[in-house]
Amino acid sequence: MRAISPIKDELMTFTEEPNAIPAVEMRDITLRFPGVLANDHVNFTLFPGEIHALLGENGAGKSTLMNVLTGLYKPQSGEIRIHGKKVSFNSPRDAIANGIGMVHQHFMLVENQTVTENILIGLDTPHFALNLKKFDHEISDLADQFGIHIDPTAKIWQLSVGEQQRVEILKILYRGANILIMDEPTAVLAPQEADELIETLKGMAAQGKSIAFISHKLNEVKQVADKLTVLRRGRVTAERMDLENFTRESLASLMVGREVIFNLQKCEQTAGREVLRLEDVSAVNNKNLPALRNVDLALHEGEILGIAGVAGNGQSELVEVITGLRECTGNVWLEGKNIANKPPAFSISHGLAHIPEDRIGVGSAPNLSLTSNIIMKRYDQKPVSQKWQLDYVAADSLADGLKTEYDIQAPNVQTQARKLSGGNLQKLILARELSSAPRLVVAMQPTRGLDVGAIESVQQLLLNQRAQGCAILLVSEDLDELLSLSDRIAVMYEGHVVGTICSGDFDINQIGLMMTGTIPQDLKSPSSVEDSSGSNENSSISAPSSRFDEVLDHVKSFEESSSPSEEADQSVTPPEEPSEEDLPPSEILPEEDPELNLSEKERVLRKVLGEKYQQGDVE
Amino acid sequence: MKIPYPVFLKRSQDAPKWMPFVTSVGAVLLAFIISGIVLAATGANPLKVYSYFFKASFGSWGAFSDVIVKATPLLLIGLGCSLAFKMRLWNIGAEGQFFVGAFLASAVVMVPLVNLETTPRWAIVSLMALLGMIGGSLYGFIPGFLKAKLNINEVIITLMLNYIAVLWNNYWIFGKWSEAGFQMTKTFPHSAWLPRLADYAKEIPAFSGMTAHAGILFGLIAAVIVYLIIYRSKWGYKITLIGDNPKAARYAGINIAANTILIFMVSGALAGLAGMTEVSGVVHRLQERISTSYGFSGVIVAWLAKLNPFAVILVSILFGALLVASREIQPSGISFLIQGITLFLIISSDVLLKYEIKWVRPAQETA
Repeated sequence: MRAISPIKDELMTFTEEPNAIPAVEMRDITLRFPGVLANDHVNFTLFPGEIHALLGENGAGKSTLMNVLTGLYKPQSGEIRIHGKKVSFNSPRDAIANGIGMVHQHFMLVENQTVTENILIGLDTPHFALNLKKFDHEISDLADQFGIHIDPTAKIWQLSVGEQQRVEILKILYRGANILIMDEPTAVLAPQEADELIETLKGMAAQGKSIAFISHKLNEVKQVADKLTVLRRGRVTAERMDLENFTRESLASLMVGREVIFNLQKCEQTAGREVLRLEDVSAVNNKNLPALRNVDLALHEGEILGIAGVAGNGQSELVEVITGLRECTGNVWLEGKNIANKPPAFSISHGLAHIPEDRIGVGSAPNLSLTSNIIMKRYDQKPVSQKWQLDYVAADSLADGLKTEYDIQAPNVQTQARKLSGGNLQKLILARELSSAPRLVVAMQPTRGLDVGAIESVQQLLLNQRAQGCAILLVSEDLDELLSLSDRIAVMYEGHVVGTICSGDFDINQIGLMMTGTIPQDLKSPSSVEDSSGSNENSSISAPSSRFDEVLDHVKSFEESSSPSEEADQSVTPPEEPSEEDLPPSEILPEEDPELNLSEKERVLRKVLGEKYQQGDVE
Repeated sequence: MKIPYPVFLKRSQDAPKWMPFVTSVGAVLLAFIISGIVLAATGANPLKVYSYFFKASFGSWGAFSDVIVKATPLLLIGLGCSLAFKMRLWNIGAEGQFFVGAFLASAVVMVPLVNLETTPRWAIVSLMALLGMIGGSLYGFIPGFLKAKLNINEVIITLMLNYIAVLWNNYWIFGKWSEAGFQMTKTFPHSAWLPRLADYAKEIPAFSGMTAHAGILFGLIAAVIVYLIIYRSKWGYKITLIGDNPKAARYAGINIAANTILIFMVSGALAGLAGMTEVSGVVHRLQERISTSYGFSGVIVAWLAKLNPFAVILVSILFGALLVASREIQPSGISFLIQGITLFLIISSDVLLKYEIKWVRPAQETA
């Protein structure tokens, strides 16, 4: 292992010191792909102990630049110096030998092996006999050094996404990297996990590691980085700037090249009648493990219901159940028709539009034309359908119209879908789904991976649908997006809906806690608050998990000791009290004190959490 | 140790429209060149062999008529395979479907299902064609159903079903329908023969001795129908969509299981019809060797034609010519050598359609 540079107290001394030798110095890097100038005389300098954010839209050249640094691409011109020494990388191996490691967005881990085994994969040592214990110790020492909490003997599949990411970081640290490249590391994390990661990164920087942090999230860049370089269309628009000088808006305009409106046009409106209702829906995932547990939800006309949660807590399965792509138990009512376990064609014909998470793998046929992709759900309707024939002329003109209306950038409607950029492909999918006048739109991660400009237009399109009275189920891992678009947010954890919060009472901390499975004390009412019918008594809180019940008991005991009152907190208002005799005991929760102010609530929360953890320790 | 100009493949965005055509023609030419080298190695003059090849296949109308005879089953099977491949279903079972089609068509005569004396010829032949198609489609149903319902690999199933079909046929020609102990049935009566050109020698003397039969018309009609299905019909759109991205097709509400079974049955029906044309148009009996691996050559035909029905016509004539020529030269395996190399090349040429080949040139060598 490479020696680790001594801990420095003052980070800034590195960057302020004129004589310090940069860990990475990339000068005039130019890389041209056919038809695209991916990097145009780009400079990038990274000092030891520094976190340097690389900000830019998709396709701005951030990843290309970092791939040059990791030896994947060879630039046509420019030079790279590592710790002052001029280098020329012919392969990623050369970059690793120079202490450069990258944590990719998608982890490359073997699920059935332990943390240690994953870290050792591909290394020359151990040669033959594998004394795992010895390496376990080495790795936990290394982890301790950087304040990373991980059990080296745990198997990867047992770990959360955040923990898996720590394994990836350890992997490159173990290979002696002192220059770390993080490719949009927070994209897969819950807010609390992201905070932890940022703390870890700051700790590593304090120990002299240099970190390049790729992102297109403006907020977190402000939170984590010391210095900032912004790329736009392959060129540097801001180089090694201090972050204090920037506002969110000025960063955005550096990235996009124009002013970005962050305030979407969201009109005030009241939700109409019910469009979608899920009753006691359970389903298993692809591994045949329970993924949805007794979910109840309701969604109304002109309403956006956001689904928050860390990836893999049942959101995909929820969407698949509603869209008919996954079998389930329970009922899914769409406009009064039970669509549970019906083929997708049935719900499509009853006004369901689906914007899938995987645009390329599910939402489009990559090798077929724009036209073929547009008519995917209406090839059987006039005017495209003519008896047994398909009228390609009518289809082309339909596609042409939508191409203009939704501003899809493509040479013509015969262009293959795979040639579209991510944003344009998403517009194509939106054009197809929204132009059919749907009653319900199920959108999963509709803006993930898109650049700021495209995000804006996708979100506005969803809001327009809402204004037209369409019901929208929006699943997103981007909390900002959920907060700005949703009328209500339901939080999912391990297949349960932990609770539902109405807009106006959105609190990012509370949602973040709920995403970790904690039920806040003021969320004792059934999930779907606006439910008009009486079928909402089997609340999401009636979770079968014993852990949940424990928490509930703590909540109860606390509430009983404090003074219970008759008024519900305004955060979530139950529309009606379900008759008590119908309810199992654990579902009857005491009312809470309306006088509790926010800090008081937080205190309660901490207490509940603390007790939960203590309980866990006793076990 | 260091390769000065390492080659790497870059995913190509725009393969030109003429590229598939060029790779197909290129594969055939290259296959001839490679076989030529093999021929030269054995001491023969490749150019002489090829010119003889050409003469044997296209030298006279009579020879060309023989080519058409060989091309007929290849055309039908090639079309069936094209349809299945369009949906990315690897039906390698055309050989078996061919045999079952031939068997059921023969049953019309051998059982017999109709009075062979009184029933008009067109009715008997039509019934045989119908039963041939039913036989092939039923035999196609098996792998289709297993694939659709249990997701069993269709390549394995179809490949193994081929052997079962051949053995099934053997049972009948060795046992039940054996003609005086020979491994064949009796010759069919004339009323069960597909009309051939030679039948009209009286009216048009030039046709005398020409064995090309009406099966080629089935093939040409089938080519038009398959074209309409793939490029004009809603069903063809669904097939193409499933073929390109089954997940997207399912998401769009298309029933993949039903279409899998249906495609297998249609593909099998075409192979079964090929089997019928062979027994009714060529050998006029059911016997052991009615197929010179038509079922497998059909796969190559479909692939070389890039699944285009009209190109299938041309390619099956080319392959028919190879088969005819192989009768004329020793060793006869040369034409199979060419076929095999062609398939090998056409499959490897796909890389040219999907990727651009790039040489990495170091920008600036640093010391």
